[in-house]
Amino acid sequence: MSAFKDVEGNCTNPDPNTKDFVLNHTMLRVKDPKKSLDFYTRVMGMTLVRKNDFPGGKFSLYFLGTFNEEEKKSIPKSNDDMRGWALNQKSILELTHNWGTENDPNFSYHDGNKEPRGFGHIAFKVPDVQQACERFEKLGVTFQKKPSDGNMKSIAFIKDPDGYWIEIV
Amino acid sequence: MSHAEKAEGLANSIDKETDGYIFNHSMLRIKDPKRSLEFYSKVLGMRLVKKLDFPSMKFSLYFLGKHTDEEVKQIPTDSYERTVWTFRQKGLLELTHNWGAENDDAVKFHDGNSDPKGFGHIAFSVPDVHAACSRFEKHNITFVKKADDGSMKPLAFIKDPDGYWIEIMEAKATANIAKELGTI
Repeated sequence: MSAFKDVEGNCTNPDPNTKDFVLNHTMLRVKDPKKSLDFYTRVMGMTLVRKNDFPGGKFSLYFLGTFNEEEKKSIPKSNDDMRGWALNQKSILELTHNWGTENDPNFSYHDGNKEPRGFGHIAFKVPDVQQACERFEKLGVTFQKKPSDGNMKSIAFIKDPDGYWIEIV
Repeated sequence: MSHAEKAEGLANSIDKETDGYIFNHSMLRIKDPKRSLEFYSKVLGMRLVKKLDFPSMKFSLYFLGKHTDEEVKQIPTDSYERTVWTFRQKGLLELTHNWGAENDDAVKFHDGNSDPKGFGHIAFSVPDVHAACSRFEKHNITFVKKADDGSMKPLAFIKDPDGYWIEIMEAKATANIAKELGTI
């Protein structure tokens, strides 16, 4: 990785104290978990690995991941073990649901791509972008950018039920 | 494998057509790549695995991952091959830099945790939250929540240079916190 030695600010020799740090998850707030879970499991092929309800704070957390055949074999058998396991994996999506938002017709979350901007998107690698997009169209998914739009023909952007952008690459 | 939990809306089985779908990265806009790279590489131990510059549109993309020494050996040295490799990985962070933002006082990004809310945070699991936090203090990192504040402990939130929140937790301890405070 010596290629990036000249990039300003970049440290190419990480501190050994950070050796076992794992970038575990990205958290997005969702209005209606029923819609979001349907989308992320049925359309995006994710597996729910952990769910926590907090009646005191009136919110629930849902943790999802994409796992290949090999990874599935290493998933603990008992749900109890799986919950701790889920927090040590890479690329988990955490969805936070504050109870009741799904019944408020005026409630919506901010996708980060118009002012005030910040977070941009999450991205999924797929084996074939064209094929995946044909499938998304059949499933009635909303597109932000179809593969044929704009300069970058090899990528697409779809929207999740809250309007968050998902890059398909 | 089926889902670990029951919840309304879940697909009963995972569609075969989604085989090979990989949740690859999350993208955050940043003001100044120099200070962000310093933070993510020096403080959190991430490695820059791919940098893409788009001169005509005046922006750059930085892809960072948290990789073990063993994983680093697998990273292709050829630039094109490394791009292909990058998009097949899990758990990458993409930082988008619009050129000149670092010199523009008007550019400030929204962390998503005040109105209008949306994105919340990214999270790192660490072997020891207290040890990690002592180290962050030495690096003068800003805390949103210190390890033992509030009812969820040990669990901390720090801020990156743009103010985005980063959760710092221990996997097993956090599963136990959830057990105590909620129902699982």
